[in-house]
Amino acid sequence: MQMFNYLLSYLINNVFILMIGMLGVYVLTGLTGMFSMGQAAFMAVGGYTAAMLAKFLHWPLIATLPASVLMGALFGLLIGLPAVRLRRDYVAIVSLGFGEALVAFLNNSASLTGGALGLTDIPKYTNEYIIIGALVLIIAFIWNFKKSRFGRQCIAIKSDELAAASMGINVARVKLLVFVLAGAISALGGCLYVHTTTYLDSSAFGWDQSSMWIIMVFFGGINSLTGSIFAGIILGLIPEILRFSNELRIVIYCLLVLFIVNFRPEGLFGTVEWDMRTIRRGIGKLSGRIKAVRARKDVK
Amino acid sequence: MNYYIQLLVNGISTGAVYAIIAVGWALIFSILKFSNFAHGGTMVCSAYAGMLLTRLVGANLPLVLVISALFGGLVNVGVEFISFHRLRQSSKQVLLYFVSSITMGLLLQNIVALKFSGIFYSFPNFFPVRFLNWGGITFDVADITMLCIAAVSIAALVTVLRRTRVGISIRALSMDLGATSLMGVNVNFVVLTTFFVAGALAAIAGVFVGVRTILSPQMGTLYTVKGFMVCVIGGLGSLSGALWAAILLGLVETFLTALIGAGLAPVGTFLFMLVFLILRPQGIAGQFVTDKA
Repeated sequence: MQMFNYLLSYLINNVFILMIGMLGVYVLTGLTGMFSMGQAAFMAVGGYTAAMLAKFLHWPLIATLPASVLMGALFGLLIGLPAVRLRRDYVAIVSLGFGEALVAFLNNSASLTGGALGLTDIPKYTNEYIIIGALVLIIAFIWNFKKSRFGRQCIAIKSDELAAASMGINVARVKLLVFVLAGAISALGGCLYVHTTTYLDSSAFGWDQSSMWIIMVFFGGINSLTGSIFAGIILGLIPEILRFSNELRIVIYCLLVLFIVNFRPEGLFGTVEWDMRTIRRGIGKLSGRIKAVRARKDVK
Repeated sequence: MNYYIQLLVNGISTGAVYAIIAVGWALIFSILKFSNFAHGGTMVCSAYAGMLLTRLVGANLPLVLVISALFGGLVNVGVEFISFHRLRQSSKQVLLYFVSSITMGLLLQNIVALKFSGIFYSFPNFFPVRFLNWGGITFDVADITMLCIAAVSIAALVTVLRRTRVGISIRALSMDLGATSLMGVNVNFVVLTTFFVAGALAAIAGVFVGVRTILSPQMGTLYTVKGFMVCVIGGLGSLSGALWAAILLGLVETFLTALIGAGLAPVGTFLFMLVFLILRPQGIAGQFVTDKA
């Protein structure tokens, strides 16, 4: 029971918060097909904004949250503007360079950000309910976003940019919007992260975290939001249950992913969403099969 | 004045390391039309293999270079088998190549980290005299040796590509896969050879990084980033472009480090790259390779 309680709090305080950051990658990579290799840097943007406002200016959560989301969106705009004009694989390198540059910058402006030592004593504003509430809100938002006109345009761009443009989709504008949106979502995750851990240093937001998110999104199925969420929970919880060292954890992740890439290239769930319709259809199929088996028995 | 010449020398020798990495990277890009992000992983593995060799049998520099290069080549052949072989046959989806190679790189790096993290290792000093003073400018003997070996190995690579049968097949493969296989070239063999050569180059770079500084498993990530940057600046898939871009990036980094400090230099490098890409998105070489992305 104690183990269960511990795991539950770990799930909420660590896995769920990092998952909010991952959802930014989902919007960018899963829906629009742009590789962001520096998405964790946006989480750092949100985190540092919230931490400094709360620590030095004593702002409450109700003010730091919008401030960090705004900063995330602003940085998304700044990075997105050059990135959407370049070729698609250059997005990867621009975001990658941005991530590395931001971490270097944070480490070197020690008077403000605490440098490599990090910031401590950040007010703890969050509790489990706030985190779950935020996660549910964001998932609902992305769920509806995916089904909206914009979301469909994103998926069209991902499948074929040229075809999408010839259908009258303003590719650069949609891409920029997605960049801003992904930045804002990841920054929100960063804000909740600092107010939960009350401690912040730049090493948590490097390339490793960003590529881990890409792995999670891919693992769950690249188009499937529920798949990504599922992958985020499983890949987040397994190492805590089995108590691996960090290196061993990554080795096992990598083996899993390589296996999936080779033998199930569309990811665990593929493009299937586990919404009510799929579940109902699955139940329908199952009951149909049971009926068929029964009917065969009756004939015998 | 001497100071700037000194910076120039240091910049070029930093560029030489990037050049060896980037040339192997460009070689693979030219035939696969996709970047192999596991390059840094191969580099780390073979650098640690070379380090173990010096610890266990006390090997000297040439021996370490040769054996690490062989080892790196074999590791890279393994990388091809595990992360690209099935994909090349079945899928054209760019995301898969991307995820597959990133994962492979992380895997190699963390296998090394499992065994060696926590303690920093370095190569023993191979040179009886480490620094030479010549007209007020100090030369690091390691840097000079490295520069020479880099030049020799790149020259050797270019000769192989120009003159030999395998080289011609590699170049043909970079133009058209289907036509090349119709000409009776064993495509799989050529791809594996290319991976072997790129791995050997990565291993040489890894040993040099180890000789110049210290070894850590994380250097794989760092040099993957650098290699990718250099290749993009040079124009993806172009060997000569990668060469020039490597020297350029080495110089820019060295001068930035001298001007604004090692900590902030990555910010400057990033801005440099961004401006460069906006002004000349096709890279130095200028050939616009239509890749799968």
